[in-house]
Amino acid sequence: MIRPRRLPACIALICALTVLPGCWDIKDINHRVLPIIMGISYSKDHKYKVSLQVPVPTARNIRNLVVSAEAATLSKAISHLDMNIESHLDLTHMQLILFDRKVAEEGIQDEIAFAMRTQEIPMKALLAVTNEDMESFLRKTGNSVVQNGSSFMNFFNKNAGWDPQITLAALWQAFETIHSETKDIALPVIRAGTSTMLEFEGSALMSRDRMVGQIPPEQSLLVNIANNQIEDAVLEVTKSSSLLIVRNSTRHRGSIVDGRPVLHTRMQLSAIIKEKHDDKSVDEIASELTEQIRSRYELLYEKLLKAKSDPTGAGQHFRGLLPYDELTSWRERYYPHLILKCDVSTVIVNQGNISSN
Amino acid sequence: MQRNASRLPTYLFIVGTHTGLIFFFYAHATLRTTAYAHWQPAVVYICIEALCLFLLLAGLARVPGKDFADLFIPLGKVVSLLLLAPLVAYFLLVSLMVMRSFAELVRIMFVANTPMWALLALLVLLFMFGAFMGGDSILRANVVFSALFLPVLLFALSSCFKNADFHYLYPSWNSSFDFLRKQEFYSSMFVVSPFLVIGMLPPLSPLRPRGVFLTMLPIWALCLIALHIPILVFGTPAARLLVFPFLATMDSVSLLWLVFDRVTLFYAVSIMAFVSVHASFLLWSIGRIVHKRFPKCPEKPVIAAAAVSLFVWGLMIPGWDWLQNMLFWETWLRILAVFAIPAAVLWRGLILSRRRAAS
Repeated sequence: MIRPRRLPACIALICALTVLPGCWDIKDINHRVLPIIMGISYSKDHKYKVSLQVPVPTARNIRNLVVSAEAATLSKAISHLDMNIESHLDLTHMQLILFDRKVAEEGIQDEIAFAMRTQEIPMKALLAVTNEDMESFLRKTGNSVVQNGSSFMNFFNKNAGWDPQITLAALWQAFETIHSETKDIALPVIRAGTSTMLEFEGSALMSRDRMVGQIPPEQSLLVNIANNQIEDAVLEVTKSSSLLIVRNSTRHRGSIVDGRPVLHTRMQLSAIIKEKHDDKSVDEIASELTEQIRSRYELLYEKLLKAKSDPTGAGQHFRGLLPYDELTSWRERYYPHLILKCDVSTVIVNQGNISSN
Repeated sequence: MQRNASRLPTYLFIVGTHTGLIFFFYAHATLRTTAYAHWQPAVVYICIEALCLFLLLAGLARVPGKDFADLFIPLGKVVSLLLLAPLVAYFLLVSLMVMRSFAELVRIMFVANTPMWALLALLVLLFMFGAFMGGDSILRANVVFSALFLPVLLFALSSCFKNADFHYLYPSWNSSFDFLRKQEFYSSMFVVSPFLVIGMLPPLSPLRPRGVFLTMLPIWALCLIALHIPILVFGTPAARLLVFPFLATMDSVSLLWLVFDRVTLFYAVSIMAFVSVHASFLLWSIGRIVHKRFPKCPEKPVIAAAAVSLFVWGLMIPGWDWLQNMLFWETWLRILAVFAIPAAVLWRGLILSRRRAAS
């Protein structure tokens, strides 16, 4: 017997039952398709062409489906695809947003804003640029997804197949840097591999939302070193030896001298000797590596300054030095005149099992 | 007096009510006040809250065991109505804001197509249920929620530092203090308002001003942290564009080893618990005050009426921008509630304690 005093509470609880199960407009998992790669390119007739790579589980295996639609806006293209696919299109598991090079060169601010605005695409989805035709890229890479469902994830996963050369750029970082006064991003440029799923071609230099150039993998490694992004060992070959860089710590300090920004960069590398060709001493090998990294880094910076792209976040170190109004014109007025003072030091940790050839 | 009664539930309750607002509104409310150096408005808010809290506690400490209604009703029918009506209206507004914004958050984050009335009905029923249980039960429920959800929230909070870039703290000094001239600064002042619930606590549990202030210290630190996390991750210009900056920051965290894909989920559930505690307590306070002022009105129908009006009102707001506009319109009410009520409490406290000393 329910005491009358409890009655309102009971009624309230029973009423809550109608909304609590959450069976509102939820579509079951078997009625959804979950695309993992979205490709954005321009088309001739309409503005956008959106291609999706959808792994469709079949009785025994995964079938790879590539669909595309053209429309004036991204959301229109996606809803067009949703209409034509028999199941509900659910973007919540999107792993990668791939831009055609032309889209990246025109600027991706609107596209990023679309992805940030919609609640479906996760903010940690990665971004990349490709030179290839979008559909054939998705079809080719899809075949390796069929063989190994997580092969794509592993390419970018720091705990799996990621390599220190590969730049990582997430959706939220692109949003951050498009609006930031003093920071840019580098997007990985990838193509479908012949034997492997993906091949890394280098990094796209972005200035705000536009792609302004491309750097090869050796230079994007330096970008990652400058950002302290190396969590893995990386092999570096000098004239007389092969060295494994096992630890790196880079510090930057900004200062303004005579109205020009000066960036002091201090890289400390720890390396292990893997191979040695000449009979050089440890100190000589260390200074070889030091010299190589420094000259390459200076070369990279020349390129970056010319392109007005700042993927190493040099401008961040001047935020405290310039007044706010000056900061908003950092990219135009200060960054191209930046002077780099780079100081590299190398410590050879050990030479492996033997001390000499 | 219950001298040995533990004060922990009370202090946890103060933390809980603030937590609901800090992790939910604080970053957005403060970010929109100025373009950079956001610690300045945040510190001003903290100072305002500290000052008003000091007035309130100084008043309450002189007349132990009395809440707002007990203090103001002896002033006579008109004066008490003048003081209590805005307070009730303000409590109602805060619950409306919290409820409607949470519904909007759920809609933006999780269920885009679910009709608003279903979300609001769930929230209103939850709040009403809590309010029916009474202030004591809400306090006790909050102890459980704190034990369950505070660690989760702190974990989610610390996970955000993974993406932080501390250079965004600069430029750190804005000598123009332009936020003081902006209306956003005053309309965002509701972030300091949770301290008003302390005025309803004395009949439930004894308060020690020193203890309350010690509780507030970590809360204020949390305010600054919650404000700066979106700034550190997204940078000031991008963070200002986000509607729920804190939520977006959590969404950006990629923890591959975590069982769940989205840290946001923990956050939304935890926030829901504290928002419910806060809103339920406000509804219960409304029932309590109205009942004391008009003894003929029993508490529960008043609570039910307030809940229904919340539901209807919430449905009548067509969209997010209207919610922001509403904040502008009720600025005067907020300033009255935040400044006048604590001052009136201190004044009543002084008079009553002097009278007691004389007799």
